Amino acid sequence: MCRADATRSRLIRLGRRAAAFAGALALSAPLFAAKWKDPSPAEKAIVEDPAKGWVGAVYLEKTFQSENQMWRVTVRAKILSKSGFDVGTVEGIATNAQGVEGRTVSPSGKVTELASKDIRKVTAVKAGGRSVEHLVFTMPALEPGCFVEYTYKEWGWLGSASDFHVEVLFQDNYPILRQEVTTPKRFPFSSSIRRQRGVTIAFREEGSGYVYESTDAPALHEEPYGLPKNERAAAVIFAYVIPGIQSASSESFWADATKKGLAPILQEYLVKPSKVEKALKSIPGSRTADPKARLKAIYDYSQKTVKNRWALRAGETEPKGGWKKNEDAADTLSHGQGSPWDIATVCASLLRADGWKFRVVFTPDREERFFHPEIPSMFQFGGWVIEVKDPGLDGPVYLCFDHPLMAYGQMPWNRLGVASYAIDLEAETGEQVEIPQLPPEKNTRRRQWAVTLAEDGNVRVDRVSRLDGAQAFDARIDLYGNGKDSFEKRLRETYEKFDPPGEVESVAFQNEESPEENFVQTTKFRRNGLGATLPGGRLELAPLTMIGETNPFTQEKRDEPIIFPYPYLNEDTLTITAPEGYVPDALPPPIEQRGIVGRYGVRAARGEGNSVVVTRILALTRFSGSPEFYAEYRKLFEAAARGDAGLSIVFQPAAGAAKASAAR
Amino acid sequence: MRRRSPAIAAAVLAFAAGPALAKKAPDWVVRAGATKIAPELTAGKPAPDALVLWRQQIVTAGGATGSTRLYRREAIKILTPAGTEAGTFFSDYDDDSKVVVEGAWTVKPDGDSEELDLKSVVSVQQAHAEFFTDNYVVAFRPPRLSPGDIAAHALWRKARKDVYQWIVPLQDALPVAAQEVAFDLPDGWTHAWRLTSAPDGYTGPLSGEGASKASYLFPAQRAMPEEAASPPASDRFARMELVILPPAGKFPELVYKSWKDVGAWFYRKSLPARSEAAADLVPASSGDPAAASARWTQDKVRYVAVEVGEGGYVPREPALVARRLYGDCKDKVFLMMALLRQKKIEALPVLTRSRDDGMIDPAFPSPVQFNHVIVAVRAASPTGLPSEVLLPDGPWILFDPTSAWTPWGQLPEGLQGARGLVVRADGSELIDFPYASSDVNRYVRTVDAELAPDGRLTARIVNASEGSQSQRGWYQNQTPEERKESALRFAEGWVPGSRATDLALGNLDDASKPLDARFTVTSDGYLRKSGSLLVLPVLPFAVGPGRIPRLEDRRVPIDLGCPRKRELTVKWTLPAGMKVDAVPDAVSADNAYIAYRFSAAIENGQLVATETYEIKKPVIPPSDLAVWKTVEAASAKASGARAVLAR
Repeated sequence: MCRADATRSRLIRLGRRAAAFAGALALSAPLFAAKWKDPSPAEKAIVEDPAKGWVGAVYLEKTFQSENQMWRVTVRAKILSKSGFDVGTVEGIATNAQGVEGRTVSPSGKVTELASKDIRKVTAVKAGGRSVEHLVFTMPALEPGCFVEYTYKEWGWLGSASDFHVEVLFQDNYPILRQEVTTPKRFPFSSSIRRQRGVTIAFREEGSGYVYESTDAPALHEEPYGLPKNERAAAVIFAYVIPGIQSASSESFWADATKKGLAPILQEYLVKPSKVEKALKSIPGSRTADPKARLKAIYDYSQKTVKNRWALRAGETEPKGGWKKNEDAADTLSHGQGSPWDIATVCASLLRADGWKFRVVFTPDREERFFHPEIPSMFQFGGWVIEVKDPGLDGPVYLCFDHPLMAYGQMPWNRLGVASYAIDLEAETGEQVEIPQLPPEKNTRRRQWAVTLAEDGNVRVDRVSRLDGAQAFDARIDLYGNGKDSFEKRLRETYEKFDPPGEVESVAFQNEESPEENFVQTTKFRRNGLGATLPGGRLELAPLTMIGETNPFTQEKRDEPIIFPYPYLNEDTLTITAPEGYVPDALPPPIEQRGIVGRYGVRAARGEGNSVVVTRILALTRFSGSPEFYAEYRKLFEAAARGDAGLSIVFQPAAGAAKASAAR
Repeated sequence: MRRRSPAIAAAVLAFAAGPALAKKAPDWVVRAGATKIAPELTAGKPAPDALVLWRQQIVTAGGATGSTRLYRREAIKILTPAGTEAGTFFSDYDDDSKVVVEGAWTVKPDGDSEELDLKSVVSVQQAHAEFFTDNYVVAFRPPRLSPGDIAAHALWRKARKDVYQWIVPLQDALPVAAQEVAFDLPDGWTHAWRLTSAPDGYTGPLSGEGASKASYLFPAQRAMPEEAASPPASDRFARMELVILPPAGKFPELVYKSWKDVGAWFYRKSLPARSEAAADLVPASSGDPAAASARWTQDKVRYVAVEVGEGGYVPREPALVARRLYGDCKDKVFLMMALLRQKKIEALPVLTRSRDDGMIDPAFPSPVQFNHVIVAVRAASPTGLPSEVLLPDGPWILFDPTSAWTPWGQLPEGLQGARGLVVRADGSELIDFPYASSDVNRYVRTVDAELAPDGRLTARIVNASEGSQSQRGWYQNQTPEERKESALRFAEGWVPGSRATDLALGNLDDASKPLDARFTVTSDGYLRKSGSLLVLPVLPFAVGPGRIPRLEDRRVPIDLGCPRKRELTVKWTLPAGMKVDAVPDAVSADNAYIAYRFSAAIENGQLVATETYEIKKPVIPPSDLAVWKTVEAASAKASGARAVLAR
């Protein structure tokens, strides 16, 4: 999937500028004198209990305290079995951390201190005369039933990872029985709480600080088609308060951030109409009266005139001397190359010069995180697109420049179906919007299979696949970025691994660089031994095993929402021709599984001559759902996996058929 | 011991392609561009993505310091977009060795060349809290590489100070058009060399000696890419082993003429670790004291490696390891030896390397061939245990305390059939490790399969596994929830759309017994109905071999690990009123390497399908690939076997 990180990097620049106004550093904090807490009787009584989610280890207590621009971390954990030893492995501590100490208390109470010589410095990367280093250690004398405790202090309000947007997670790979984060009241960050899976983060004022506390937070674990990692854990999200931008409430923040941050920074990159007027006039089709044609002409011009430096063709390299830096849309036009951000600013400048009304929509990268308007942080976006609304158009049109093969009006799935933020640059106002997903009927894969079965069970297939929408885009960017040779090589390797192995004879493509058309792939291959000889001389073929849908939802229960990239519709029509002298036996009954998240259906019918036509549909109509929908998703994909594996077409010798029918 | 480069390198490649400087490529790179490429080098299937035009490796030594360097120049022609990866160089080094990049260049098809700015060479330490090492991976890619370009680099490596030997591969996953290995030693020095096997087109001697200056040219080599079930790279490629021989009396500690010399080197290194441990570590046990010590070390001492400088070769004191309760292979071995010493049991360290890292060449005595240590424990009399070896002074039991669940008396799969150096104060010897028999490395699956009138399958499965086939370590590394999920995935993998329930594990913590994994798989519509015809796939959950693609072009042996046996019995219970109309034919294939058998029959009124797959000799040479094909064909036929049922 193409990524769009330009927005974040540009916003960081904005933040850095603002951060220059931040106050002077406070005096260094006194070293934290570690005071270990001996295990309580209740803690000693904790044992592994899968019913409670206590497996491997539990964090008894995690505390984080921000004080005088230092971040103190203290962790206490109990190891319940060997699979929890990794809680005693600590990495990623800043090399200038202070007071790194730890100890292990055995089940019998024997204490083994973490020796300072066992705290090691790791060089993560060394390049260009610079090194990135951090500290690591592993706790000594670990055994099931032991307690580990460690503490350290890092520089920074929120530790060494202090940034403009810091998420302190309240969930981890093991349950956390208690976690507390304390910050001073005078603190250059706003805070927001993200609740998850019933974890409550309580907030209170205590003396000169604010305290965030949670208890009994369950462990996190990966689930197929789950949320992106930044959305999975309950967290307190700290956003740097940029001087001059209010953050008393999310409403006032977004109003102010739009007026003083987002809109001005974009305006900096757009250029006056006079600077693009000449280019505008030169665009073929941009002077027509038809609004749709006119808009498309400007979009196509922007896409084709400016080389997208983030989406290089297979084997393509950056120019000699490197890419040129673009300060604004005029630079981008004159250099003829730029990032998706740069290309979008060219298109926006042209649209403005041509008199279009449009908005800029900041979208998150759904693979990384979602946009939460209640969080006063501008660092939630992965990029921006242009929204054009005009009476002459059929609804809003979104113009996206992530990839040169992005069709007019098309968006990559990772920016769709979740909240985004639209800005009117002229009015300097914004609002939350959601750019909807395309329906399944617009993300289709339709395949025609001509399957020839030989008497020895060998199968030859000519298959024509037509893809549109997101499915076509995925295929196009793969070919574009990796090249046809690589695509074909991978295809051959994949087929070789099938059981029985497949041999690809040829692959051909159509419209691979015509994003407005269906992407067409024609594949010819053999699968020797796919058909089986049954006792009695019949031939059996399970044709849908060639599709081989797998069920990703094998787990019994689901904790998190399900989220697919996009809804889709896959239709397969297989025309199976029997070998000479064979005729179809009675056909299997149809299969139909229809639910609220999708549909799977298979039907077999007699075709021309001695052929059988099998039609199969798998439609995912609902691309996301809460855990309550899990049973439905599971049922759908189980039915598809079972149906594909179990559908059997049997052919019998024609003479036998004649005899059988005579006997009847 | 040191482990070589986990592929962290890939992670740094993103940083490795750096800015270019407009400088002319050296003459040797330009000359390499004119190398004639034999058509067979690019004719492989699949066609190679890149090709080594010229590779030169020169060994030097400093007459005064004794330090040795390996200079390397390489020019690679990029043939496809994917081939740009081949232009990326990466290698590892540590505090004791070094890699110095002298330059890297891209030569475009029009002859224009660019030089890499060496500031963009990246290195990353291969370390984290549980595997802390001073090993670094260094990586770089010549600038702006695209198909048709030549990527070239020149660098040199310094060897670890204990080692005066080099091993250089003559073959590669890419074709090599031309190459030279040369010696450039001080006057009066000499060298010896040895080929592990003859590279393509080479008909000369396989070993030799020479003076201080020498050059060895080798003909073009076809690509030797990794294939399914292929031996590790170091066994796949023909290699040249190089020995630097200083004049008599100079740097004697760097010259290893025999395995005794290598053993003596490690003995000296390990002297500090031959100290005592606390006496009360292993609880008194009524069982075999050697087995109890072995189990204690396996169980209580976590594998955490700290390999910095000498730490890569020098074991730590047993008392320290016992206090930390963590250590690497050599730490565990010397702690176990200390524990055994308390019980008056003699034990010796054994330097080794897993077969997965390549077999140790017995004709090349060198510390560089080892990356692991296990222990040999003296037995009073022959025990019959699978890991027993007979040394000149009697029977000894080999044991690897780093392998968490291998029972006493057995070796983990990678060490079965490997080699090792039994280290003694004097008289160290290289030995062959035994393979356990296929009766020890055994996997038995029994399935009670019940079919309902509507075609629903209920299969109660018992998997009993032991030896190299044991699933104990695999289950032990999972949480209870993960174990359930792996049973679910197993079911889905074999019978799509099915579910697994009631997982129960027997003998999970008792490594001396086979691990029993029991669970039930259910699936609607298992019985295939085509009109009135009822078709039953009789062999769900098959245990036969997987397919190996591209056998026609294969140039390397099939390496199946170690001898083992897998057996499956499926007993079918049919619903009332349903009977078997026809059973599939039996198939079998039996040869010197493998025995495979499938049959289905009615026994006591019940349909019973059985499958047996036994590896007798695990390495099938290319000359005998036909035997594998017969096994594959038989197994393919069996996996498609159907019974026809009737009501």
